[in-house]
Amino acid sequence: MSLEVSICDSCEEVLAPPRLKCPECRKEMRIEEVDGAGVIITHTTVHIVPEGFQAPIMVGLVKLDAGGQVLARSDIELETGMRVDVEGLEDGTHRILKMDRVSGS
Amino acid sequence: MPTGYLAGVGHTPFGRSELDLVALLEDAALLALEDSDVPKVDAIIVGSQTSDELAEVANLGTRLADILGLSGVASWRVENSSGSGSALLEAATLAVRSGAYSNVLAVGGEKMTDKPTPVTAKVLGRVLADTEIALGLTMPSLGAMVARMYMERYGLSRETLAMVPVKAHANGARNHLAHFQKPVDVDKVLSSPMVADPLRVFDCAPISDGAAAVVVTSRRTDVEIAGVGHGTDRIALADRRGDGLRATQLAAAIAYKEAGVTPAGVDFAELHDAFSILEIIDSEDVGLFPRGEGWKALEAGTTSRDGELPINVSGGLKSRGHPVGATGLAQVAEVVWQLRGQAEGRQLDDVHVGLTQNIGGFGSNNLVTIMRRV
Repeated sequence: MSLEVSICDSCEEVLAPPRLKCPECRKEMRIEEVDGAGVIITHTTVHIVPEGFQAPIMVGLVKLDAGGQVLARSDIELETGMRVDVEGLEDGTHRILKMDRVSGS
Repeated sequence: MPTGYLAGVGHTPFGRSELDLVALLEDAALLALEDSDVPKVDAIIVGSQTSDELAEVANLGTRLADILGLSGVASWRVENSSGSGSALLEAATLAVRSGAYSNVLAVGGEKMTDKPTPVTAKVLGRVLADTEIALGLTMPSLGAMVARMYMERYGLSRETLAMVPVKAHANGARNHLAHFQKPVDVDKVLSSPMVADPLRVFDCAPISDGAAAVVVTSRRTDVEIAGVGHGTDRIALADRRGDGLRATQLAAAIAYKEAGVTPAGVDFAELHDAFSILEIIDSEDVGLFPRGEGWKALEAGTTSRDGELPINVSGGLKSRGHPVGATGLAQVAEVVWQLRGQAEGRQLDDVHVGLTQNIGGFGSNNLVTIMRRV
């Protein structure tokens, strides 16, 4: 799967969802479609959720192979170090689609 | 550089209050004015994270001047979410240092229990990034992810993490102004309901009403505001880089430089433990312990009331309570009482330098203040 990120050529920063200006140097960012492969850095299952949402919410912080990190929701139990695939959604959020355990590492 | 001094502090009881926000602010302000020997303040700075929504009241600056019998005096509001309290002290200090004003009253408060808890939680969550709000995340959700990352990276166990609220409650039991004044044990923390795995109810600061105030003056008193530092980080957690909270690290570097002290010169600290894990991370961010070792100091009792470097002897946010707009000034009040030898029931021996660290948003807009007995 893929998602849109923005890249700052000056800071080499990669941010998703994409934004127009770099938060560090205010330079214009370049928008690019990148592969959604990455690894879970940390995660949580939220049991007490705000009005309008249904518990539990599973969410993970994913370090993308293409650079940068995204928070994404998941329908599957997460574990730190898992390989995942992230899809960018229209509302600017992200979803973890499938995953495999990291093997041998 | 011209400096600023603390002439008086005030602190209402924290917890569920019958008073409305303006009455709480008034009480704290009157206590601070009474505690100081300043005949007249020439400016008022008021703070609240979200008075408009949670307390349905606005124009706090004018209201305070009016109700305090100070109509005519310059009065304005400062907002920096849960870091509003320290931002008030910063604004008052800068106002005095600049020479524009001689005596400034800074007062912060929050009335949080009027609305049902889900509404309060939603309003508080507005400080997060849009993408986080869209996912249904709240402050504790981000705290949980940060907690897991730290635990897995540095070997902190869930049981040791529970020692933060246990210590907080033990300290809060000695503070007559605290929201909770009852000790708890590790079992109680670990059997409380799960909020966001691995954080449970007892890992999270409560929803509280309350206000705190200080009078800052250009005239020498017994407590100097030696250093005030302020830093920010990117609003979205996923957009941040590095370990710990950069906003705290930046703020601490400025505060230490201004004060001319190093972390080794700090005798005690009041840190922003909105979630248990934050006290440990904060203690490393302000340089009191090396990265990854804050939990070892906690486990060894170094940060206990009778340890070498007491942290949150007031009870911290967890036990003292967390009326968001008041917290930073409540931390300052505790430091002033300790430095003056007035912390009844919990006085530390021989303390000269105290540090506060106050977080705005989820760690994105933080302040560090260093105060010194002179």
